[in-house]
Amino acid sequence: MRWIWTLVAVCLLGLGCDAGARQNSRVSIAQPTVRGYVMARWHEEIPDIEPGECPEGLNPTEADYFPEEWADFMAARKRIRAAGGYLRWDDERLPPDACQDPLVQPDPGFLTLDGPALVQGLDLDGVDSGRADSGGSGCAHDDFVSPDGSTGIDNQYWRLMGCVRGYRPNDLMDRLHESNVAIKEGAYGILLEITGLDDSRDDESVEVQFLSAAEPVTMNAVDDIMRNVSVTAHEETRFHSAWARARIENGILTSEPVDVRIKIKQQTSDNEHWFRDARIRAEIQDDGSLRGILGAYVDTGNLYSVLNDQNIGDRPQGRNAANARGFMCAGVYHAMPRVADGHPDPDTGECTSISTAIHFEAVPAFVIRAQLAMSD
Amino acid sequence: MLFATRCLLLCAGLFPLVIACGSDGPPDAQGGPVAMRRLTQGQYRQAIADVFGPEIEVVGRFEPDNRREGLVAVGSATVTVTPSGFEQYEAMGAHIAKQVVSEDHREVLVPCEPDSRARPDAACSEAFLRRVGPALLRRPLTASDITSRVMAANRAVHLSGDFYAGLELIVTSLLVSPEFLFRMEVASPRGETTGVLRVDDLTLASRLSYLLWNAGPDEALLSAADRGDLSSTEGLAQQVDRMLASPRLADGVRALFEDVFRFDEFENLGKDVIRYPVFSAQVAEDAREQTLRVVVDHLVVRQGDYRELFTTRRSFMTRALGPVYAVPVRSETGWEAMEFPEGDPRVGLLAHASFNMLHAHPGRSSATLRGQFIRESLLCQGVPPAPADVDFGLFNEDENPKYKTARDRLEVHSSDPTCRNCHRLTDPIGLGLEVFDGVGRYRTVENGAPIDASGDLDGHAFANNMELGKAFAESPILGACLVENVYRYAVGRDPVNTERRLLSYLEGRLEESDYRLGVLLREVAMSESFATASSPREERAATVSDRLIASRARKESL
Repeated sequence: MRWIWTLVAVCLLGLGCDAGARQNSRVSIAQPTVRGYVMARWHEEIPDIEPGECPEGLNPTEADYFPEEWADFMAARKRIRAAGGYLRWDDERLPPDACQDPLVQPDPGFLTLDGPALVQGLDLDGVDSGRADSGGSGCAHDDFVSPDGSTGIDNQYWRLMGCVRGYRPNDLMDRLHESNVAIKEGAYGILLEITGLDDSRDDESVEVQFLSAAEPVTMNAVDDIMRNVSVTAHEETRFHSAWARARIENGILTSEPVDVRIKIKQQTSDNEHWFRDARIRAEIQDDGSLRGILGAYVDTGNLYSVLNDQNIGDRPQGRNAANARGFMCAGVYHAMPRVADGHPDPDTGECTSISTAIHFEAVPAFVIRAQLAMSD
Repeated sequence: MLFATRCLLLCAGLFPLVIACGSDGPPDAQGGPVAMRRLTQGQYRQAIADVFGPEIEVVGRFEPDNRREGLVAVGSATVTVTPSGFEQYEAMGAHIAKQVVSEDHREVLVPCEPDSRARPDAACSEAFLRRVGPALLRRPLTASDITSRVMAANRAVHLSGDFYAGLELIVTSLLVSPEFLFRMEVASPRGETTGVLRVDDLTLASRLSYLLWNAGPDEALLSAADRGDLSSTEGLAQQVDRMLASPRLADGVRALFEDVFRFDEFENLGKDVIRYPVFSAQVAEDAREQTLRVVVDHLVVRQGDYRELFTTRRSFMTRALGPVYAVPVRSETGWEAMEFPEGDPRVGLLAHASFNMLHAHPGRSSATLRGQFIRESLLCQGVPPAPADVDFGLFNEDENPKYKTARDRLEVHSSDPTCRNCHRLTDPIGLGLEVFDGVGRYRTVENGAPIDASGDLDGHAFANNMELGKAFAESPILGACLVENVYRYAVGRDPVNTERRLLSYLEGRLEESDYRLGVLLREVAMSESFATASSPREERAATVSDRLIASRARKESL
């Protein structure tokens, strides 16, 4: 189905097929069976009804774990800043920076959320599983139940971060999600396109593609994401997912797994987020927007990088960011294999990815393929 | 209809000055009174850009332009400069002068270097004055012009010890000169013919250049005027054809339609962003520019039929404007050409966001304002103002559950006999555009109720805005109004009695040319009326009869 639309688009853009279409550079209106969106919200799940218990308390930060070194560093930093200078976060007053190299510090014993909780997400493996189901293998995990009663929810990311202060309900990350600052500041420009759409309520055969945008979202006069805006896709095709089969049933769009790479550029982070076997379940709203959840596995190496590989120029900021959010980089590193539940290594059998859930809301937009963009 | 009515009135012998109707060639109609027209903001800026380059900033507050009888071009002949306005012009002139002689620009703009920066250099001052003076004053300089300004510049150098302070004074003095700020027209008796005046060649040159380029005469035109070439038909035709073939014609056509379309009102346009979050200053600016681009592309580049402006699907788009039209825009910056497909409601200028946002309220659309604009500006028909005591209460309740659409509310409002007479002129047209909201976004429902965009344009029924555009393009008044607007724009006043026959002739020529604007502009520029003027006594006598004929023609057209 997709090749037909590709051909139509090429013809319409005057690149071939028909002399009439070639004669000038005009672009015609997009076919109605192609529907584009730009993400207006995009954030990880933080459960707010029953987030789960952390009986041993919350994870310590480096400042908690190395209080004397941090006190010494912070005092020096204050003095130097008052004099107009800057003290790097990898200064030797502090222990070696585990956010740059996680093996330079011992495992501090990271606390994960091991009990039950009401957590949103998707059933990625199709099994309502428990830790005992796989005979204690490294990938075995206890699924969550979602607030609507759905079982088999795979969201090991919450087990990883559920006992981190900044990720608890109403704390730092929750407030950042609420303010939608990441999208509004352009950290994520994410596009979604549906093709082969004949009926937006029921269509058993459509395809979806995720693309990073080459530019931030456009805001309207009341600080919402502008609808019907044209957004150019990222020029690197690695940030264009393959087309995934999908279907719409009673207004609910569900897609099959596909790898998605999203470009992130925000403040101290210039990275990419790799979602493996990502799929969505979203409802098409009456106003044309799309609201739902993306479920996927995040690669552990990529996740560690996203969390901790943060810099301003050549000055590392990962330790600072981890401290603000409430965890130690070394702790996360050593805990990730314990909660990983996807993509077992064929040689070792160890899982290399962690299930997660992303809430998203997308508004209608036009996806402009970068290679076809033209200037005035 | 309008054409026929005018001929009927004229031929009925109501006005003895008119001799006959229906002759084939252009009538030797005498023009009306000369005018003294203050430069508009746009013309002032253009003059500075033409003479000193676009890098020179024009900063300051202008005396407000005055729209009269639908055109700023007419209103500009009725305005003066107030004392505070003069101060503003002086401040702007001084700021411009400072930039012109600054170290950043003098190398390009000053054609010579003084022997000493601390002493006067009359030769260099004169060379500079000869370079910029004629273009600013729109005439060759006299010996007196040169002597007085060079002497003043020399005195300034003596006082300041800086040669460039003298040049600064020269520029400032030119920019506050009435001959720069006003287009002062001069006419003198022509031969033995009693009462017939002919504008001098420099006046004619200015009329030509402002009509065709919206700018002062260039060097070639000034030279032609100075040589007397414009007094001969051949010499005049040569200059007119040169100007019509110039890329600068696009500037002139833009200015003409900016005036006719009342686009200066964009400066004060605001919208309720809660209702229209898509609206921004950029969107408004692009909407305005979009319409002007379509006009120039269709009428100048393609030399198309004026009537097709109201049915064309061709347009131009930017990223900022794309969300208003809900269309994709490939270009990240700048403009791109596009064409709406068959069946799309975006047909013709009346479907442009510019008109629909400009002629609407801050928080809702307005069938009445849109209809009024179309009647007055595009069909040259008068719509009486609303009575002072009119009750808009019910109409303003646009969330009244009983009257969900503008049609519902207007029907109730118009049931008042006081209101009905005017609303029957405006609303049937405006309701055809109700599918466009207050910023020009397409919609099919209002408050959950389907919008009925059917209506009637002077007996021509239409089912939707696309058919309205078609009916509009076929209106017999459309071409006549274009003629009237172009002629009034050209001479800066309403036509006088003696010019009515010319207008009828121009309507015929426009029709013969398949409504090509270029043909109309050439006919106006070459017409006898454009180059002649009436004496003040005849002007007064004509006033009463002009008003009478205009009033009758307007009533007849409605």
